[in-house]
Amino acid sequence: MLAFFLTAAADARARAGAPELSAEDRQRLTALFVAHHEVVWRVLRRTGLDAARADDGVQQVFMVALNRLGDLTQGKERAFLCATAVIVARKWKTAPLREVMPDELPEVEGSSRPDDETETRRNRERLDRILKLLDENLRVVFVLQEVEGLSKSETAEALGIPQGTVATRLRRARIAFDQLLRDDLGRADP
Amino acid sequence: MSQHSPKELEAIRQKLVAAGRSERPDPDTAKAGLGAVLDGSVVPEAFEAAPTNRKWLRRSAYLLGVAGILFIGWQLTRPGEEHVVPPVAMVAAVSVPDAAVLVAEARGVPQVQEVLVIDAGPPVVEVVDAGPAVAAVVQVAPKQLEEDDALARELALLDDARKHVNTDPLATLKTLSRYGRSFPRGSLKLEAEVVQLEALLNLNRRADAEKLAGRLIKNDREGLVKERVERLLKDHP
Repeated sequence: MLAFFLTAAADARARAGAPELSAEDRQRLTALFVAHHEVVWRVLRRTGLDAARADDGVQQVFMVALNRLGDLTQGKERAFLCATAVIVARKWKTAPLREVMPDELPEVEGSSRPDDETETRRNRERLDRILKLLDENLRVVFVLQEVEGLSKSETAEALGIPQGTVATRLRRARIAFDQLLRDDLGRADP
Repeated sequence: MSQHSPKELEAIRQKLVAAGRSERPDPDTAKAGLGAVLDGSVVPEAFEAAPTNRKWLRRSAYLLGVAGILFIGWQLTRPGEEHVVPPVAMVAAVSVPDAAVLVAEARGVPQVQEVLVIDAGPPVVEVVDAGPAVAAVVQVAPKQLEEDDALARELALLDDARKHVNTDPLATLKTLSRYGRSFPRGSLKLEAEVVQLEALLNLNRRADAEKLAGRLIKNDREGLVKERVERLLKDHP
């Protein structure tokens, strides 16, 4: 199945006039995509892109990765992809996130409490709302380490900053996040 | 503002984070995206350099900086280049006591092009004749020459004074007086005072001689002249 998919992609690439990809590069990029595209997509989402823009952003991130396959160090691919996602998001973040207040969300009829999916969606929207208010440097560290679970060294590698700076920013980001969360909860439950 | 405790806030934060982490892109869209990347139908945008090899770049910049500092340090501290004296036909160095008399001898050389004169020193005449087509390099240590000259002049004066100590002790005293004015802290001052003592004894100025002898013996802690002074006093009763 994968071989068929890769062969079809190679034919399309030839038709598009793009340089021929070696089988090894195709396999490596596909493996990278399968392993990390969700993280990349979420980083794009959390750093300010809507879902449709995040889909396009993922393609751009992996285009960059394709051109830099030779530079990618084994075991540091995730940091590289996340860093590239941050760069893409910064460049594309011209369209702001649409703020959705809790009372705009559809209520589930006949239910005394929202189901899990609705609650998750509300939480996600609250998360995005608060992240949008965070300082960008703090937000990126918070997203990579707290939300996506990158290690301190991976985050430092991705952002090109010392690990001590990552730790400091994460601590400040948590404090700021909690403050913003308290404000948000106060608005929701006056 | 809500009144949540820090623990409650932490729990809510973890819930929000989990909600964010649970979000997934649409699988079909993702598959189409991978296909687009692989078949080259994605129009790549120009992004700034992807952050690979940042550590390597930092290390390279660091090493380059260190190398630059070392190079600058080496440039600042390396010994200067040797100064080459341009070719001259002859260099003559002349040193004459009590007078700045230049004696330059050009043996078989058309003309003297450069002359170095050192005033006040022993009668040493050095003539370097390297020929017209050979570069002559003269190394001079001015301070050393000056000290040597001063000592030579002291010796010359003392010799002059000592020469007449038996025949003309008054002249000896005059010469020693000149010596004292010329070299108030002379290296041969002790020897000059011994000659002065002998001259005073020859002039039968016993009181002055004994006074000088007492001072000499008192100050002669190393016993350099004590024996001579006592012998002189004994020889001139």
